[in-house]
Amino acid sequence: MKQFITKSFIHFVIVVLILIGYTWIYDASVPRRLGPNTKSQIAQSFSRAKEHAYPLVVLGNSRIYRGINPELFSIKAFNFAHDDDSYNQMYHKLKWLDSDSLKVVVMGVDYFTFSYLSDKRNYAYGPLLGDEYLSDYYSGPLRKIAFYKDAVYQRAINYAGFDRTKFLIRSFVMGPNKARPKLKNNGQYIYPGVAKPSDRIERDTTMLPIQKKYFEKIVLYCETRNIRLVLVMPPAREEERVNYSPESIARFETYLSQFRSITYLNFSETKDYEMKDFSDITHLNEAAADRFSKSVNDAIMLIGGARLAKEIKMSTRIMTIAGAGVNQHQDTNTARFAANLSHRRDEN
Amino acid sequence: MLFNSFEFLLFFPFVFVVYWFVLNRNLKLQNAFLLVASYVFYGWWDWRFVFLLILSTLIDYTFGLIIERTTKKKLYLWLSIFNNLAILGFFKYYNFFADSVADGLQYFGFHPDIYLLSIVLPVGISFYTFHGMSYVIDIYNGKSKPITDFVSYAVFVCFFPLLVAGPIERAHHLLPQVLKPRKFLWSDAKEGVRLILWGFFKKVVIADNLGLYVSDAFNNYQSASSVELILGVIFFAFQIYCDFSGYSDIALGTARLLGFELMINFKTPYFARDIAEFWRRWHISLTTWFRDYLYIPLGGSKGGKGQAIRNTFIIFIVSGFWHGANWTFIVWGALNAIYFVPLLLSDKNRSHLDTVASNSALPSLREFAQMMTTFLLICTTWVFFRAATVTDAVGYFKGIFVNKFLPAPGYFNIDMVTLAGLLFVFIAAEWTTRLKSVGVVDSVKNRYVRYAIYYILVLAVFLFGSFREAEFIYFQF
Repeated sequence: MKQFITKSFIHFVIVVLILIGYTWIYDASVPRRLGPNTKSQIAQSFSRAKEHAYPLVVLGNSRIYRGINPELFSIKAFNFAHDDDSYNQMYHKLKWLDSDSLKVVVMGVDYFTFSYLSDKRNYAYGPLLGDEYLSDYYSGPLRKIAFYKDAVYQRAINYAGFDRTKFLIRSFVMGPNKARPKLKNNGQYIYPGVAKPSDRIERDTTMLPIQKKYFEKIVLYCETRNIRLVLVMPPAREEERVNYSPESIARFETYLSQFRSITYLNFSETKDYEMKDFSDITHLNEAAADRFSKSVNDAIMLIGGARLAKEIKMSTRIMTIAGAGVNQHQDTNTARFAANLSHRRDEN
Repeated sequence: MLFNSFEFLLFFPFVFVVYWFVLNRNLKLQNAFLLVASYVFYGWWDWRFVFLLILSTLIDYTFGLIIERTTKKKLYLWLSIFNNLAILGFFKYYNFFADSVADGLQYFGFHPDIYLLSIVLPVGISFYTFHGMSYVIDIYNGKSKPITDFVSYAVFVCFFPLLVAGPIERAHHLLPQVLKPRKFLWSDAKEGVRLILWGFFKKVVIADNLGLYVSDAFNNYQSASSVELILGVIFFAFQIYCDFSGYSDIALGTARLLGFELMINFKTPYFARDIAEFWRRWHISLTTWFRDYLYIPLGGSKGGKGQAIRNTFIIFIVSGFWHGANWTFIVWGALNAIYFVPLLLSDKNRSHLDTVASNSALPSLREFAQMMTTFLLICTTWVFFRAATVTDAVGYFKGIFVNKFLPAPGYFNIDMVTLAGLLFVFIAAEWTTRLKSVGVVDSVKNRYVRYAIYYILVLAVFLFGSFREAEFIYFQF
């Protein structure tokens, strides 16, 4: 028995050392092809978010993370979005920022964002956002153990498995990838790709009570601190839009309409973006993201104009922009957009 | 609780330490601890069904005692069988029968309002009810004596390594091990760890990675190419084998680490030279259970070929039904019976009782052809086993012949090549161990080479495994 325990322990230590060595090799090689890993992205994002006192912060999921270039905003801005973020993550990030200089929050919304409570990045978010964030996932006297168990598992599977080994093999065989994904200093994540006609995705439009609760907390947070909250729905391909029935869209917009202090910019059905502007089924490519960012900036400036920069409190309105590009150089579209705007200006 | 879960990684070392270090001098306490650990293991999935497990255990325990003492043995035997089948029937087959009756009545123009229940199928119910039934039937037949110690009996029924997916143990094999003190043996421990490691390799590396291709093929059979469909069913043959035998290996290895020897459930079945040999090597605990408790009581082959064929059909159809409440399993069973018939008619069902190529390194051409033919026949039955409906299975076969032949470019990519390489390594390892009682690695003389191979195996599980939280296939039975 003692021999078994001793030998088992020695073998276990050797195996652990081999696996640790493997993770070192993996961390040194794979980012040369795939860019920074998730934990590294989140760490950099949090680090850079507080480098400056940004008056405008962008929150959202991967469609915003990749789809907004804050450098194209008229106001100094940072993209604090991340893959898979929903309102609980966005709320806690906002609270973590706790910035007195914050005047505008541009928050990505989609018809599916209320439908999930993602825990895949808790191993990275947990230590940064704290116990209040983790309390939605873990409760009871063993919650810390449960969290560490999940955190170790999530970290381990970032290295384990055939899906990951393929990346390592490619990094050795094919060498560094110049066109690899990258995280810009302004927080935007660039992930190259080419959309295909056969791309498909399934979306769930359920509105979970917990995400509604966090959405409302964000609205209240912004109201209390006199922060302008602008909701943005990025362009969506037809192949994605088939998931959204008229009933689910109506339910979503009816829900939003109860909030008087938000501005809602819906670009999901705009005709200005084609398949070639996407890098996959749902994410804009870098060039299209720049165009989209300018459109969002133009819309924000048109609503508040210079008054935003002067931090004057605005009146509330909700509006939908359909089929109108708002690039200042596209004169025909600007006129149509302005006409839409004036039609809805008296909603309040 | 799954074997391939973080919880089990914490659970089993704790059980092992307490079992051998704290309680090893007291057999009663050791068995009680095993029983509690087994209930915790089972209840981790859904604690409510622990009560059903306890109830089923209590009923069979009681019937065992009664049958020994009563003069109305047959009555109580049938009551016990009825009870077990009623529990199994309700949880597993109620909705199937209700649906089938409704479909049948609709065919004749009736529209009954059949009440369907949202019944959760308790994990492992097919396995532990069979444990109980075999115990009671053995007592009735005089092959076993009932035991008065409920805890020991409950350990036999609920022993956690075999609780949810077998092997289906017999009282005369497992109960004596429960009743006598276990001794920690170095050889048992080594064998246990080796079995667990090999089981994980089969499940996580081979079965779960193949599962992706299998799912693609079966979910898209209308549009997939013939090559994808053919590969889909071949991959499923290895997926289900590696998944189930992998689980069995982990179960055997875990039990061995606790000093128990469970029955072997698989003996390289894909090297079988005919269907009869295949069924002597596949899910051995279930096939021998049906042989001993259904085939032989029905008369076996004693009443001539007609009776043998009838009984064979009954066994395979019941076996299909045991696997699940779906017509696909019944067709699967019937097909296997049909393949068996020529062997029965020609008295060749016991031609191959030895292991293929027992005197040579490689099979002869004839043996190879026999293995390939048997494998092909088995694959045709697997289509029904895997498909969601009989219509889908028929559509799958049709797709093989009418769809476009070649897959889209990129199908044969590095993933597929790597997987094919791992599958080849696996088949080679199985071939070299077909005659041995120890694993191929254990027959390597140099200790350091042996250790290096084990480390490579662990690394292979880490590097090539699929960690997508896939359940073991046989959990659903």
